Amino acid sequence: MKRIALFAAITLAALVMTGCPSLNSTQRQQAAQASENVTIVLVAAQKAEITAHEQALISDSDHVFIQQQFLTVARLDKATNDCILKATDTHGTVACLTTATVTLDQINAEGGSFLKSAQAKQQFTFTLLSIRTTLSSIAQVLGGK
Amino acid sequence: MGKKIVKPTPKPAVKLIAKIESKPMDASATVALANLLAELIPLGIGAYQQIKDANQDANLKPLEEILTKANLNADAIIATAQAEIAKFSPAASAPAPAAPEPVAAPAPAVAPALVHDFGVEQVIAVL
Repeated sequence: MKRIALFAAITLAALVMTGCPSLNSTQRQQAAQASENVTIVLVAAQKAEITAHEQALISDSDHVFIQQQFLTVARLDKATNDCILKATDTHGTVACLTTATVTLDQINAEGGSFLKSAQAKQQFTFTLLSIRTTLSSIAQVLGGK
Repeated sequence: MGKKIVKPTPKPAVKLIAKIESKPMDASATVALANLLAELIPLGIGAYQQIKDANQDANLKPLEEILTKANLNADAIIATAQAEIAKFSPAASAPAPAAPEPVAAPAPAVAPALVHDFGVEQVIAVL
């Protein structure tokens, strides 16, 4: 049950995007908001991971690996922002979000095979799933698959 | 009137929960996870509130402003991550040898900027 609670707490932030899409916003604003939401989730996850590492719940090597992946995801988010800014229609905006989610899946898969401790693996997986949900839910609202 | 309401599908969450629940944990791992939960849940709630506030303001903010905020947040994450990595490596930004290099997905033709940012070689590697 605690693991379900953990999942629920972290993904709650992502799911709110699906439940309350900004119907009066432009589609690119919705996509941009999803991107900002990704960074909010990521900041919280990064703080939690640092705290867990300080409490010796996550090993040094796993900690460095996770921070490197957070760094990569943050850069991916910036690239997605640039993509959204340059997109000229809904199709292009959805493509930006879809490309980001596919990349997140790859990062998540690689993290699952590298990370040693269960705590590190769970936190990493939940964080990326949460971020992915934030992006993919908006992509679906905009008409993507 | 006539607006399509899209509801979240529970399938991914149900699958993940089933996967997690299927894995047995020993006592020490349960205690460690409980400690982690104590840290994560307040942060999750805080993130939820921030997202809720940000979404309520989204209608009022222009696109560039939202993207600027997202980029600033991303820059802060990058700076924090680099500082943490630097604590365990003499070269501040050098990647650990064991960490696999994330690869960009093949972007559709309508999203050339993302492809460009991750490099043609990486995209070809995926293809």
